[in-house]
Amino acid sequence: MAPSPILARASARSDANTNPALAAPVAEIRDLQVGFRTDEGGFNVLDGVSFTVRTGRTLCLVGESGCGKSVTALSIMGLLAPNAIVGHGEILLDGTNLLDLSRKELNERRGDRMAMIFQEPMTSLNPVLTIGDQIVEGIRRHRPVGRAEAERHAVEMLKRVRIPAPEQRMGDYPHQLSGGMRQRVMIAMALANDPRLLIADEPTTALDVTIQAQILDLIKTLQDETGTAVLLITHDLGVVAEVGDDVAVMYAGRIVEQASVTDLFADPQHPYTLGLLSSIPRLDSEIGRLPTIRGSVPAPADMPSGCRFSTRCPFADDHCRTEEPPLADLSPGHAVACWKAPLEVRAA
Amino acid sequence: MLAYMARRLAVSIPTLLLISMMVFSLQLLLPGDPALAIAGEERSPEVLAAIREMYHLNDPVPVQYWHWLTGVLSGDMGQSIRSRMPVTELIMTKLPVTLQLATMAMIIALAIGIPAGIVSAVRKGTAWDVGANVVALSGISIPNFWLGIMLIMLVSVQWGLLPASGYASPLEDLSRNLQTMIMPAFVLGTGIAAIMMRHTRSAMLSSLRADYVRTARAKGLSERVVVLRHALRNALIPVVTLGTLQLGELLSGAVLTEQIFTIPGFGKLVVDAVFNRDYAVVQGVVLFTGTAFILMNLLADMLYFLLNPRLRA
Repeated sequence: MAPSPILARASARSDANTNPALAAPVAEIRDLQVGFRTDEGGFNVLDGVSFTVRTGRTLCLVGESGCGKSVTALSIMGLLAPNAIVGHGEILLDGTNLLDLSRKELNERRGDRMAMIFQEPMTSLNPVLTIGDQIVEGIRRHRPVGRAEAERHAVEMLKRVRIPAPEQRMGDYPHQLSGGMRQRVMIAMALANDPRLLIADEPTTALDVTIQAQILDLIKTLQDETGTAVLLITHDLGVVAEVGDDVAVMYAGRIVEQASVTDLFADPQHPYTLGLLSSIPRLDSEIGRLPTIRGSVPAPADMPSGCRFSTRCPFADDHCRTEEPPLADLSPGHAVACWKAPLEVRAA
Repeated sequence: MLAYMARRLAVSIPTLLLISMMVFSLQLLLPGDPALAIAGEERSPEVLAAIREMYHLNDPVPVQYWHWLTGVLSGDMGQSIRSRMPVTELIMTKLPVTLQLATMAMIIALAIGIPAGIVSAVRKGTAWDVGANVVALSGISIPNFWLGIMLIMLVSVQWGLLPASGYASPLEDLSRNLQTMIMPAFVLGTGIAAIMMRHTRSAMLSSLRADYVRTARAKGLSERVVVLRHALRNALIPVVTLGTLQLGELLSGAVLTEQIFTIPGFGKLVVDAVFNRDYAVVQGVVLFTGTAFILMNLLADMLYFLLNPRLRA
């Protein structure tokens, strides 16, 4: 098998990062279960999700739409819809369980020690407030500084996210800026208080391809400058290869495989990860149908027993369909939730 | 902005002309000879002929309209048949009374409607929400005249707390003025408060769901700041527009309320004029109200423009 271009990029990146395990954990999610209450009853969206985001490193959370990536991010920020219920688990930020905090204590951390960038830059900024007001407000909420000082800092942040003529942009309203510029403003706002953890939920999905690369680059550069831990949510394995250090693959509310980016691309173990990797179009392969994973993600209210991927897995047997596989270490730093691991058959 | 206003004003002119034509044709459509009404008891043919001559009643209708329109444009809306006072002067003396009533009603409507709308949106599905909705529905459903009569019976007759009538000018006796105005203002304001509450609620519900509210929460802002600064600022745009349109509504709503509480305002002027077949006054008042309505619409448009940065650019 010829090395895919994505894989080549991934190994180039990860080689640059040394001592991954020594980096201090910033956020630790442990056995998180989140459900939603509806008129028809309740169902779980996340079931026993665990992962760790470390200082200066980027953890990519990958999976199909509806697998629970965004719910995970919103749970950390405490931004879940009112009908969401956190069943059990812990969300530790620098050792403090956020789930134990009062609304006021959580508010002291949101926008300060942890911050979030959303998928939709077009609607995430308030249309009736100026860019400057929206950044300044976040700074003054967490820093005992006057308006002038906060404005200076806001201009500085706009400069850091490479917005031209930042002084003039301060008085602009969001509609006067393009999508890419608005996402830069969101990043400036999120990083204004120098957070320990930055959550980016599909930050480039809504943007043009050329702008996507710029935004990812920017996040990476700023992370190198500040050492912020980044949790990057994406469905795009190209993005993972580009900016990720570690990856957690999510399927139907569970983490099915977790590894460094290099390991995951070089030696994918979960059949679902294999499916995801083989459905990336390649320039060097023969013309034909793009491989897909058959079937579709089961609905949260209608989860299969045993392994949740068993309904779509080419390797599944009765054991898979009756008993749920735990997420177990296969080698140091590479964990898989599959009875068949290590896989001996490699999917074409 | 200036170009926009100029365009809106230009569009208003045909509307105003149309109103003026309809107002003018009122007297043609109404039964009875205006000359007879003007003459009163003196109905000798000579007097009637003189009156017809004086008021151009023998001219063709378009010429009559032209005479009337040029008069109106120079501020002369004719004379009251009853009081012989110029209609313009009558309107100008009665208007402040109604304006005071309408302003007080609007303040009451805003003071009740907007906070109630916010609370019921923020506490959606709770007893607060249900309570506010029940009150709002009653506010919309209960007719002004019934509420007015009930309040007079309870507050004035049973409890003797406020006078049921006996208007005094605020310049003469402010306390008496407020005592007589508060009940009618409340009656007039409740209906509007209910409408404002419903609109505030739905506008708030949609802006509370907006992405920018989630961003505001992600910044760690307190719920009060999130609701009042981020959600309400956006929700108020349609509500303010609606409120301005309701000001026009208040002018017509005042007709009944002023009648019930015997307040000598605009509404009472028009009702008396109708009963007395005082055409000139009816025409004047209707034309004035129509114009005011159009101006309110224009004002609403401009406010919407000013409040919404997306349009301002």
